[in-house]
Amino acid sequence: MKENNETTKHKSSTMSSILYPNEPTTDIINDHPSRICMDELPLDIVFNIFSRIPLKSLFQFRCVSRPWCNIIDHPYLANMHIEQVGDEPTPILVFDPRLTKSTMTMSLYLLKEKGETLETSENPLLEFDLKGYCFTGSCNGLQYFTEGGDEGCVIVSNPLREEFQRLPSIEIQCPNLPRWKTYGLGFDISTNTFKMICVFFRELNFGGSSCYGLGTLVHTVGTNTWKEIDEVPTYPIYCTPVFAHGALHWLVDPFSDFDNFIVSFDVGKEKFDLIPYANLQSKDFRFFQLVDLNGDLGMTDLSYDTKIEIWVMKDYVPKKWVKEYILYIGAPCRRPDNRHFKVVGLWKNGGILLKSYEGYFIYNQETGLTWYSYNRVNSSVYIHRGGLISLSKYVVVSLLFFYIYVRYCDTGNNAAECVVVLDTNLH
Amino acid sequence: MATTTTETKMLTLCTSDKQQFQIEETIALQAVTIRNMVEDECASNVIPLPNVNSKIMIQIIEYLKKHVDSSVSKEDMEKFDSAFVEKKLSEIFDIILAANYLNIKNLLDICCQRVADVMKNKSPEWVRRTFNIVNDFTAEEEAKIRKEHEWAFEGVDED
Repeated sequence: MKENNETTKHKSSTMSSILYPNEPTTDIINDHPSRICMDELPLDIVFNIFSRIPLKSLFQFRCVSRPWCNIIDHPYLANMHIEQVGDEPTPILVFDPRLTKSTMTMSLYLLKEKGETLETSENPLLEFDLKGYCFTGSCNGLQYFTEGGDEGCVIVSNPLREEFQRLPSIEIQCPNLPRWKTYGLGFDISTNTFKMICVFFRELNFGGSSCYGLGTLVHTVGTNTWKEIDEVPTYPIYCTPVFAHGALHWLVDPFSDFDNFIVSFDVGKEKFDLIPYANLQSKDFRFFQLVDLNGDLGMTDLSYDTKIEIWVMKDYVPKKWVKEYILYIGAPCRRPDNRHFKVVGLWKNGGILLKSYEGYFIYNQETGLTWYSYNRVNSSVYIHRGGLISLSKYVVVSLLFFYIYVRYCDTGNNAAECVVVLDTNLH
Repeated sequence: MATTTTETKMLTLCTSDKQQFQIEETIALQAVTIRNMVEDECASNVIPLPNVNSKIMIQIIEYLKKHVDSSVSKEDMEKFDSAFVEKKLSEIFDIILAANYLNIKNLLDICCQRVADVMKNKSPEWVRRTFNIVNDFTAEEEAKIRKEHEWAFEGVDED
């Protein structure tokens, strides 16, 4: 049909024998292994390929050669890799020292399923000796832990890189006010920076009489200061936030009158906003939660007897909730209601990890709900969206608008050396 | 189906080995580089493509012909794409370079995905052999780097 339009010459062009009458049928040159040379590819193509390789392989490929190690450690690749969906979520077990008196060490382990057990890696990925911190949330490969005390300390960590960093402390001089603070880490794609925000109680002065209000501080990871911004959430927020679509999301405090909204904070524009709920059966706050579904914003509906529904924010402009998962949890563990369940996040192979007072469950569409035992007490399991981002390298470049290119140069002994040039003028 | 043909505009592409390919303009314009040349009117009847040889051009035309056809369902297009990249790595690399030069984003992406899919779960040794990469680490340095992320080295495919 379409072929009619083409010239005879092109019609025959699919047969290389006609175009290459003198060449042997197998193309020897092209099959020669030396033709495949990754180092000859332009760097943006190498980044394109690497951004599609799972994290675990990339961490192995660091030992292939020096140039490869430099590329894999480069912040540009970390940002690109996060943009590509497809990497499996990484379950991480946090051993929490608050729950035991014998130790102050918080330890992070990788977790995998083996039979019907959740088993930790032999050695912890990371340990830090700080009391009073608890896991708060994660964003684009980084996890953060906060401490509830006056100083307001925050630790940011990439557990897969085995790195952690303490952010500068916050000093808020309001001795009479509640110590309540809430934190959220987000990624600003317009500047390629991570921003930690902190919402706190402050004293306001209205014509001599003082009252409570909220204040918002923003810290760009890699700098030394927190700055206060004029924006505050319209309603009191609670729960740990979920980062998705470039914004942080909290539920509105259930004890305020306005509990049918999600409060969002656009990390790039540094502005709060309100988002309507998904079309849930119940408006009772005890029946829902926000959940991070490997980078997507999810909202769970626990108000049914024998099932849990999870809605996912598919489009952000305009907002569109889609009922993506229905978990039938009736038999064999039927209960009066599901309130005690909490959706932790996505597991491998399409599974969903749930937590209840009885422990951890993995839900699969085919096999239903399975209870898993695990071998560490005093610990919690979190689903982490892993990332390449290196805190030690991030600090250097986060302060620049950078345009990078890498040059391979022959160092004389035939080893290609990778030179990364940061150029502040080109962008 | 074929809207008959009286006014079909044709373009002639000339590859590095001086082979000429005459194809419909709508097919060729999917390549942003060609589109820019045509729009800027800096192209005469024959568009020279000195960075692409005819062997690769044939495959790229096969790809473009399929992708210009709006009647192909999304599913069939994905099937076509995944069959299209079932080639030797050396060929995929050549297509990557050509797609990069011609600026055909989707073709570049599916080929990069193909390379990534081949590489995942392979050992560093396999990667060095396949891509002819010289290991410029000393044994001690390499051991140190492996130790930094020991967790990543469990469960690698047999080469």
